[in-house]
Amino acid sequence: MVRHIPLNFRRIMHLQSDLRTYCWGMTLLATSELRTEDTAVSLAVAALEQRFATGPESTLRDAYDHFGSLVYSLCRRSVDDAAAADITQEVFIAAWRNRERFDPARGGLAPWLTGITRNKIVDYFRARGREDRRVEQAKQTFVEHPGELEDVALRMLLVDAIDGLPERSQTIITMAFFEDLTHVEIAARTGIPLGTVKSDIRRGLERLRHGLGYAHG
Amino acid sequence: MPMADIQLQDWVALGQSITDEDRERHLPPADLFTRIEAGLADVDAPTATTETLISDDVAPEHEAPLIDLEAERTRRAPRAKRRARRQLSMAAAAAAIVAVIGISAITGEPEPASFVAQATNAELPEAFGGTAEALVNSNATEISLVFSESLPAEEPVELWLIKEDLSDMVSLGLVQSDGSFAVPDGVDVAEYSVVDLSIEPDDGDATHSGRSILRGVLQST
Repeated sequence: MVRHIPLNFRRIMHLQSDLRTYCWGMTLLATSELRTEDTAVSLAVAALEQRFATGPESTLRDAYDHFGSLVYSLCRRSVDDAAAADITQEVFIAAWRNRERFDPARGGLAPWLTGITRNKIVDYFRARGREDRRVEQAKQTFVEHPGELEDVALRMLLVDAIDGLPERSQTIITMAFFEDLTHVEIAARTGIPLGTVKSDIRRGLERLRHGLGYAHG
Repeated sequence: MPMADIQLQDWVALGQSITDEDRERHLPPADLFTRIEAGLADVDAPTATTETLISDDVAPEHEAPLIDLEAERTRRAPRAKRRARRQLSMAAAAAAIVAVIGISAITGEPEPASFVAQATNAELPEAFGGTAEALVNSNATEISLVFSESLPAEEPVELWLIKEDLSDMVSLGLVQSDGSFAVPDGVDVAEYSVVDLSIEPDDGDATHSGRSILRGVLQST
Protein backbone atom coordinates (compact mmCIF):
# COMPACT_ATOMS: atom_id res chain seq x y z
CA MET A 1 0.00 0.00 0.00
CA VAL A 2 1.63 3.19 -1.15
CA ARG A 3 0.85 6.27 0.80
CA HIS A 4 1.60 9.54 -0.87
CA ILE A 5 2.98 12.10 1.51
CA PRO A 6 2.68 15.51 -0.11
CA LEU A 7 5.70 17.73 0.24
CA ASN A 8 4.13 20.79 -1.21
CA PHE A 9 5.28 23.44 1.19
CA ARG A 10 7.69 25.96 -0.25
CA ARG A 11 9.46 28.34 2.02
CA ILE A 12 8.53 31.91 1.43
CA MET A 13 11.58 33.66 0.22
CA HIS A 14 12.73 37.04 -0.78
CA LEU A 15 14.00 36.80 -4.31
CA GLN A 16 16.62 39.50 -3.97
CA SER A 17 18.33 37.98 -0.96
CA ASP A 18 18.05 34.53 -2.39
CA LEU A 19 19.86 35.52 -5.55
CA ARG A 20 22.58 37.01 -3.40
CA THR A 21 23.00 33.88 -1.30
CA TYR A 22 22.75 31.77 -4.41
CA CYS A 23 25.86 33.52 -5.73
CA TRP A 24 27.56 32.74 -2.42
CA GLY A 25 26.52 29.15 -2.89
CA MET A 26 28.06 28.99 -6.33
CA THR A 27 31.34 30.35 -4.99
CA LEU A 28 31.25 27.70 -2.31
CA LEU A 29 30.51 25.04 -4.87
CA ALA A 30 33.98 25.32 -6.32
CA THR A 31 35.63 24.37 -3.04
CA SER A 32 33.22 22.06 -1.31
CA GLU A 33 31.53 18.73 -1.64
CA LEU A 34 28.30 20.28 -2.80
CA ARG A 35 27.12 18.97 -6.11
CA THR A 36 25.33 20.49 -9.02
CA GLU A 37 22.11 18.65 -8.25
CA ASP A 38 21.76 20.58 -5.03
CA THR A 39 18.93 23.02 -5.13
CA ALA A 40 19.47 26.75 -5.18
CA VAL A 41 17.85 26.93 -1.75
CA SER A 42 20.12 24.33 -0.18
CA LEU A 43 23.18 25.98 -1.72
CA ALA A 44 22.04 29.31 -0.36
CA VAL A 45 21.51 27.84 3.11
CA ALA A 46 24.88 26.07 3.07
CA ALA A 47 26.58 29.33 2.12
CA LEU A 48 24.62 31.19 4.78
CA GLU A 49 25.70 28.69 7.44
CA GLN A 50 29.34 29.03 6.40
CA ARG A 51 29.39 32.76 6.95
CA PHE A 52 26.80 33.16 9.72
CA ALA A 53 29.34 33.34 12.56
CA THR A 54 31.52 35.96 10.91
CA GLY A 55 29.40 37.63 8.24
CA PRO A 56 28.13 41.22 8.13
CA GLU A 57 24.74 42.17 9.52
CA SER A 58 23.10 41.47 6.15
CA THR A 59 23.72 37.81 7.05
CA LEU A 60 21.08 38.12 9.75
CA ARG A 61 18.60 39.35 7.16
CA ASP A 62 19.34 36.27 5.05
CA ALA A 63 18.91 34.00 8.07
CA TYR A 64 15.62 35.69 8.86
CA ASP A 65 14.45 35.36 5.26
CA HIS A 66 15.18 31.66 5.32
CA PHE A 67 14.13 30.73 8.84
CA GLY A 68 11.92 33.56 10.16
CA SER A 69 8.81 31.76 9.03
CA LEU A 70 9.95 28.46 10.59
CA VAL A 71 10.74 30.11 13.94
CA TYR A 72 7.53 32.12 13.94
CA SER A 73 5.44 29.10 12.93
CA LEU A 74 7.01 26.99 15.68
CA CYS A 75 6.08 29.71 18.18
CA ARG A 76 2.55 29.78 16.83
CA ARG A 77 2.17 26.14 17.81
CA SER A 78 2.10 27.17 21.45
CA VAL A 79 1.39 30.90 21.75
CA ASP A 80 -0.79 33.54 20.06
CA ASP A 81 0.50 35.60 17.16
CA ALA A 82 1.54 38.65 19.21
CA ALA A 83 3.61 36.52 21.59
CA ALA A 84 4.95 34.52 18.64
CA ALA A 85 6.23 37.75 17.06
CA ASP A 86 7.83 38.82 20.36
CA ILE A 87 9.55 35.48 20.83
CA THR A 88 10.72 35.38 17.20
CA GLN A 89 12.25 38.81 17.70
CA GLU A 90 14.07 37.57 20.80
CA VAL A 91 15.29 34.46 19.01
CA PHE A 92 16.94 36.37 16.17
CA ILE A 93 18.46 38.94 18.52
CA ALA A 94 19.87 36.17 20.73
CA ALA A 95 21.07 34.23 17.68
CA TRP A 96 22.89 37.23 16.27
CA ARG A 97 24.49 38.15 19.60
CA ASN A 98 25.72 34.57 19.94
CA ARG A 99 26.50 34.01 16.29
CA GLU A 100 30.17 33.19 16.89
CA ARG A 101 29.00 30.09 18.73
CA PHE A 102 27.32 28.66 15.66
CA ASP A 103 29.48 26.08 13.91
CA PRO A 104 28.05 24.54 10.73
CA ALA A 105 30.18 21.43 11.33
CA ARG A 106 27.94 20.66 14.30
CA GLY A 107 24.64 20.92 12.47
CA GLY A 108 22.31 23.20 10.61
CA LEU A 109 21.25 26.75 11.32
CA ALA A 110 17.60 25.66 11.34
CA PRO A 111 17.96 23.24 14.29
CA TRP A 112 20.23 25.72 16.08
CA LEU A 113 17.56 28.40 15.76
CA THR A 114 14.69 26.13 16.74
CA GLY A 115 16.74 25.09 19.80
CA ILE A 116 16.90 28.74 20.86
CA THR A 117 13.21 29.10 20.02
CA ARG A 118 12.22 26.21 22.26
CA ASN A 119 14.15 27.77 25.13
CA LYS A 120 12.50 31.13 24.60
CA ILE A 121 9.05 29.56 24.48
CA VAL A 122 9.70 27.77 27.78
CA ASP A 123 11.00 31.05 29.25
CA TYR A 124 7.87 32.77 28.06
CA PHE A 125 5.60 30.30 29.80
CA ARG A 126 7.68 30.33 32.95
CA ALA A 127 7.23 34.07 33.16
CA ARG A 128 3.45 33.82 32.86
CA GLY A 129 1.17 33.60 35.82
CA ARG A 130 -2.05 31.63 36.00
CA GLU A 131 -4.00 33.73 33.56
CA ASP A 132 -6.56 31.53 31.99
CA ARG A 133 -6.97 27.86 31.47
CA ARG A 134 -5.62 27.87 27.95
CA VAL A 135 -2.35 29.50 28.93
CA GLU A 136 -2.11 27.26 31.98
CA GLN A 137 -2.66 24.18 29.87
CA ALA A 138 -0.08 25.20 27.28
CA LYS A 139 2.32 26.05 30.09
CA GLN A 140 1.91 22.60 31.56
CA THR A 141 2.41 20.93 28.20
CA PHE A 142 5.49 22.82 27.14
CA VAL A 143 7.28 23.61 30.39
CA GLU A 144 6.74 20.34 32.19
CA HIS A 145 7.14 18.22 29.08
CA PRO A 146 9.80 19.94 26.98
CA GLY A 147 9.95 16.82 24.82
CA GLU A 148 6.57 17.77 23.32
CA LEU A 149 7.99 20.98 21.94
CA GLU A 150 11.11 19.19 20.77
CA ASP A 151 9.00 16.68 18.84
CA VAL A 152 7.01 19.47 17.21
CA ALA A 153 10.28 21.19 16.26
CA LEU A 154 11.75 17.97 14.89
CA ARG A 155 8.74 17.26 12.72
CA MET A 156 8.77 20.82 11.37
CA LEU A 157 12.51 20.58 10.72
CA LEU A 158 12.01 17.29 8.92
CA VAL A 159 9.36 18.83 6.68
CA ASP A 160 11.77 21.61 5.73
CA ALA A 161 14.80 19.32 5.44
CA ILE A 162 13.03 17.04 2.99
CA ASP A 163 11.68 20.07 1.20
CA GLY A 164 15.25 21.29 0.72
CA LEU A 165 16.40 18.08 -0.97
CA PRO A 166 16.70 17.89 -4.74
CA GLU A 167 13.49 16.58 -6.29
CA ARG A 168 14.79 13.11 -7.10
CA SER A 169 16.13 12.64 -3.58
CA GLN A 170 12.81 13.86 -2.19
CA THR A 171 10.98 11.18 -4.11
CA ILE A 172 13.41 8.43 -3.13
CA ILE A 173 13.68 9.45 0.53
CA THR A 174 9.92 9.70 0.83
CA MET A 175 9.54 6.19 -0.55
CA ALA A 176 12.30 4.72 1.60
CA PHE A 177 11.41 6.35 4.88
CA PHE A 178 7.71 6.88 4.81
CA GLU A 179 6.57 3.97 2.68
CA ASP A 180 9.09 1.45 3.97
CA LEU A 181 10.14 0.44 0.47
CA THR A 182 13.47 -1.30 -0.07
CA HIS A 183 16.15 0.13 -2.35
CA VAL A 184 15.37 -2.51 -4.98
CA GLU A 185 11.64 -1.76 -4.85
CA ILE A 186 12.32 1.95 -5.26
CA ALA A 187 14.61 1.31 -8.22
CA ALA A 188 11.98 -0.93 -9.83
CA ARG A 189 9.16 1.50 -9.21
CA THR A 190 10.94 4.65 -10.36
CA GLY A 191 13.27 3.26 -13.02
CA ILE A 192 16.18 5.02 -11.29
CA PRO A 193 19.35 2.84 -11.24
CA LEU A 194 19.87 1.00 -7.94
CA GLY A 195 23.27 2.63 -7.34
CA THR A 196 21.73 6.07 -7.70
CA VAL A 197 18.94 5.13 -5.31
CA LYS A 198 21.48 4.03 -2.71
CA SER A 199 23.69 7.08 -3.04
CA ASP A 200 20.68 9.42 -3.00
CA ILE A 201 19.46 7.82 0.22
CA ARG A 202 22.87 7.99 1.84
CA ARG A 203 23.32 11.61 0.85
CA GLY A 204 19.74 12.44 1.77
CA LEU A 205 20.25 10.91 5.18
CA GLU A 206 23.33 13.05 5.77
CA ARG A 207 21.42 16.13 4.76
CA LEU A 208 18.49 15.29 7.03
CA ARG A 209 20.90 14.72 9.91
CA HIS A 210 22.36 18.17 9.32
CA GLY A 211 18.92 19.70 8.96
CA LEU A 212 17.49 18.14 12.10
CA GLY A 213 20.28 18.21 14.63
CA TYR A 214 22.78 20.54 16.18
CA ALA A 215 25.39 18.95 18.44
CA HIS A 216 26.62 21.16 21.22
CA GLY A 217 30.24 20.75 22.21
CA MET B 1 17.30 12.41 23.28
CA PRO B 2 19.79 14.84 21.73
CA MET B 3 18.62 15.70 18.26
CA ALA B 4 21.97 14.87 16.68
CA ASP B 5 21.72 11.26 17.81
CA ILE B 6 18.53 10.59 15.94
CA GLN B 7 18.51 7.31 14.05
CA LEU B 8 17.06 6.20 10.75
CA GLN B 9 14.25 4.32 12.48
CA ASP B 10 13.37 7.50 14.37
CA TRP B 11 13.08 9.31 11.08
CA VAL B 12 10.64 6.75 9.80
CA ALA B 13 8.52 7.14 12.93
CA LEU B 14 8.98 10.90 12.89
CA GLY B 15 8.11 11.19 9.22
CA GLN B 16 5.00 9.11 9.63
CA SER B 17 3.87 11.27 12.53
CA ILE B 18 4.02 14.50 10.53
CA THR B 19 0.68 16.27 10.57
CA ASP B 20 -0.70 19.01 8.34
CA GLU B 21 -0.05 21.38 11.21
CA ASP B 22 3.66 20.56 10.98
CA ARG B 23 3.65 21.63 7.34
CA GLU B 24 1.85 24.85 8.00
CA ARG B 25 3.99 27.97 7.87
CA HIS B 26 2.91 31.41 8.92
CA LEU B 27 4.49 34.65 7.82
CA PRO B 28 5.78 36.81 10.67
CA PRO B 29 4.40 40.37 10.78
CA ALA B 30 5.91 42.56 8.07
CA ASP B 31 7.66 44.87 10.53
CA LEU B 32 9.29 42.12 12.57
CA PHE B 33 12.73 42.33 11.02
CA THR B 34 12.74 46.09 11.62
CA ARG B 35 12.00 45.33 15.27
CA ILE B 36 14.87 42.85 15.40
CA GLU B 37 17.26 45.44 13.95
CA ALA B 38 16.01 48.04 16.40
CA GLY B 39 16.48 45.59 19.27
CA LEU B 40 20.04 44.94 18.20
CA ALA B 41 20.86 48.61 17.68
CA ASP B 42 19.79 49.71 21.13
CA VAL B 43 20.60 47.11 23.74
CA ASP B 44 19.15 49.21 26.53
CA ALA B 45 15.91 50.12 24.85
CA PRO B 46 12.81 48.45 26.20
CA THR B 47 11.21 46.40 23.46
CA ALA B 48 7.68 45.29 22.89
CA THR B 49 8.88 41.88 24.01
CA THR B 50 9.34 43.12 27.50
CA GLU B 51 5.74 44.12 27.89
CA THR B 52 4.61 40.64 27.10
CA LEU B 53 7.38 38.65 28.68
CA ILE B 54 7.90 40.40 31.96
CA SER B 55 4.65 40.38 33.80
CA ASP B 56 4.15 41.39 37.41
CA ASP B 57 3.96 37.82 38.56
CA VAL B 58 7.31 36.88 37.10
CA ALA B 59 8.63 33.51 38.18
CA PRO B 60 11.41 33.68 40.77
CA GLU B 61 14.17 32.64 38.37
CA HIS B 62 13.40 35.62 36.19
CA GLU B 63 14.03 37.96 39.07
CA ALA B 64 17.61 36.79 39.39
CA PRO B 65 19.48 39.87 38.26
CA LEU B 66 22.83 38.29 37.51
CA ILE B 67 21.66 35.69 35.11
CA ASP B 68 19.02 37.04 32.79
CA LEU B 69 21.04 39.66 30.98
CA GLU B 70 18.53 39.90 28.20
CA ALA B 71 15.60 40.52 30.48
CA GLU B 72 17.71 42.90 32.49
CA ARG B 73 18.60 44.93 29.42
CA THR B 74 15.07 45.10 28.22
CA ARG B 75 13.26 45.41 31.51
CA ARG B 76 10.42 47.80 31.14
CA ALA B 77 11.41 49.96 34.08
CA PRO B 78 12.98 53.30 33.13
CA ARG B 79 16.73 53.11 32.84
CA ALA B 80 17.53 54.85 36.12
CA LYS B 81 15.11 52.71 38.02
CA ARG B 82 16.59 49.63 36.39
CA ARG B 83 20.04 50.62 37.47
CA ALA B 84 18.96 51.23 41.04
CA ARG B 85 17.29 47.87 41.12
CA ARG B 86 20.35 46.22 39.66
CA GLN B 87 22.62 47.77 42.29
CA LEU B 88 20.25 46.72 45.01
CA SER B 89 20.23 43.17 43.73
CA MET B 90 23.98 43.13 43.43
CA ALA B 91 24.24 44.28 47.03
CA ALA B 92 21.87 41.54 48.08
CA ALA B 93 23.88 39.00 46.15
CA ALA B 94 27.13 40.21 47.64
CA ALA B 95 25.70 40.03 51.13
CA ALA B 96 24.80 36.43 50.62
CA ILE B 97 28.32 35.43 49.81
CA VAL B 98 29.97 33.75 52.71
CA ALA B 99 33.51 33.63 51.45
CA VAL B 100 35.37 35.16 48.58
CA ILE B 101 38.10 34.10 46.25
CA GLY B 102 41.53 35.44 46.82
CA ILE B 103 43.64 36.54 43.92
CA SER B 104 47.22 37.07 44.77
CA ALA B 105 48.92 38.54 41.76
CA ILE B 106 51.64 40.22 43.76
CA THR B 107 53.12 37.30 45.65
CA GLY B 108 52.61 34.93 42.76
CA GLU B 109 51.14 32.40 45.14
CA PRO B 110 47.59 31.22 44.61
CA GLU B 111 45.44 31.55 47.65
CA PRO B 112 42.52 29.23 48.21
CA ALA B 113 39.15 30.68 49.02
CA SER B 114 35.63 29.65 48.36
CA PHE B 115 32.39 30.80 46.93
CA VAL B 116 29.20 29.26 48.09
CA ALA B 117 25.71 28.61 46.92
CA GLN B 118 23.11 31.06 48.05
CA ALA B 119 21.02 28.11 49.04
CA THR B 120 18.69 30.15 51.16
CA ASN B 121 18.49 32.96 48.65
CA ALA B 122 15.38 33.05 46.49
CA GLU B 123 17.55 34.29 43.64
CA LEU B 124 18.80 30.76 43.06
CA PRO B 125 15.75 28.53 43.01
CA GLU B 126 17.82 25.57 41.89
CA ALA B 127 20.70 26.07 44.30
CA PHE B 128 23.18 23.23 44.47
CA GLY B 129 23.38 21.64 47.92
CA GLY B 130 27.15 21.78 48.16
CA THR B 131 29.77 24.48 48.09
CA ALA B 132 32.86 25.04 45.99
CA GLU B 133 36.33 26.32 46.54
CA ALA B 134 37.86 28.29 43.74
CA LEU B 135 41.49 29.06 43.16
CA VAL B 136 42.78 31.68 40.75
CA ASN B 137 46.38 31.18 39.70
CA SER B 138 48.97 33.92 40.07
CA ASN B 139 48.69 35.37 36.60
CA ALA B 140 44.89 34.97 36.64
CA THR B 141 44.78 32.76 33.57
CA GLU B 142 43.17 29.79 35.23
CA ILE B 143 40.50 29.01 37.79
CA SER B 144 40.46 25.71 39.66
CA LEU B 145 37.29 24.46 41.27
CA VAL B 146 37.00 21.97 44.11
CA PHE B 147 33.50 20.90 45.08
CA SER B 148 32.36 19.76 48.50
CA GLU B 149 30.14 17.15 46.89
CA SER B 150 29.33 15.80 43.44
CA LEU B 151 27.58 18.09 41.04
CA PRO B 152 24.14 17.05 39.78
CA ALA B 153 24.81 14.67 36.90
CA GLU B 154 21.44 14.73 35.11
CA GLU B 155 22.17 17.83 33.08
CA PRO B 156 25.37 19.60 31.99
CA VAL B 157 26.72 22.30 34.27
CA GLU B 158 28.49 25.30 32.78
CA LEU B 159 30.94 27.72 34.37
CA TRP B 160 30.58 31.44 33.66
CA LEU B 161 32.39 34.62 34.53
CA ILE B 162 30.12 37.63 34.57
CA LYS B 163 30.96 41.32 34.71
CA GLU B 164 29.77 42.87 37.89
CA ASP B 165 27.83 45.51 35.97
CA LEU B 166 26.14 42.67 34.05
CA SER B 167 27.26 44.07 30.71
CA ASP B 168 28.89 40.84 29.58
CA MET B 169 29.45 37.20 30.43
CA VAL B 170 31.78 34.51 29.16
CA SER B 171 31.55 30.76 29.36
CA LEU B 172 34.55 28.79 30.61
CA GLY B 173 33.06 25.51 29.55
CA LEU B 174 31.26 22.58 31.02
CA VAL B 175 32.06 21.37 34.52
CA GLN B 176 31.69 17.76 35.57
CA SER B 177 33.74 17.69 38.74
CA ASP B 178 36.83 19.29 40.26
CA GLY B 179 39.10 20.78 37.62
CA SER B 180 40.92 23.74 36.11
CA PHE B 181 39.43 26.12 33.59
CA ALA B 182 41.28 28.55 31.36
CA VAL B 183 40.20 32.17 31.66
CA PRO B 184 39.65 33.34 28.06
CA ASP B 185 42.13 35.84 26.63
CA GLY B 186 41.12 39.40 27.28
CA VAL B 187 39.00 38.51 30.28
CA ASP B 188 40.18 40.16 33.47
CA VAL B 189 38.92 38.31 36.55
CA ALA B 190 38.94 41.58 38.46
CA GLU B 191 36.36 42.85 35.99
CA TYR B 192 34.50 39.60 35.29
CA SER B 193 34.32 38.91 38.96
CA VAL B 194 31.05 37.04 39.33
CA VAL B 195 31.57 33.29 39.19
CA ASP B 196 28.43 31.42 38.25
CA LEU B 197 27.59 27.77 37.67
CA SER B 198 24.44 27.03 35.77
CA ILE B 199 22.53 24.04 34.49
CA GLU B 200 22.66 24.14 30.71
CA PRO B 201 20.34 21.70 28.96
CA ASP B 202 21.65 20.51 25.61
CA ASP B 203 18.93 22.34 23.79
CA GLY B 204 20.42 24.50 21.11
CA ASP B 205 20.70 27.69 23.09
CA ALA B 206 24.27 28.65 23.79
CA THR B 207 23.28 31.46 26.11
CA HIS B 208 22.97 31.22 29.87
CA SER B 209 19.91 29.18 30.80
CA GLY B 210 19.07 31.32 33.79
CA ARG B 211 19.23 28.23 36.02
CA SER B 212 22.15 29.02 38.31
CA ILE B 213 23.10 26.56 41.01
CA LEU B 214 26.10 28.27 42.59
CA ARG B 215 27.38 31.78 42.53
CA GLY B 216 30.03 33.91 44.17
CA VAL B 217 32.11 37.03 43.66
CA LEU B 218 35.87 37.05 43.23
CA GLN B 219 37.58 39.62 45.37
CA SER B 220 41.16 40.70 45.13
CA THR B 221 42.98 40.43 48.43
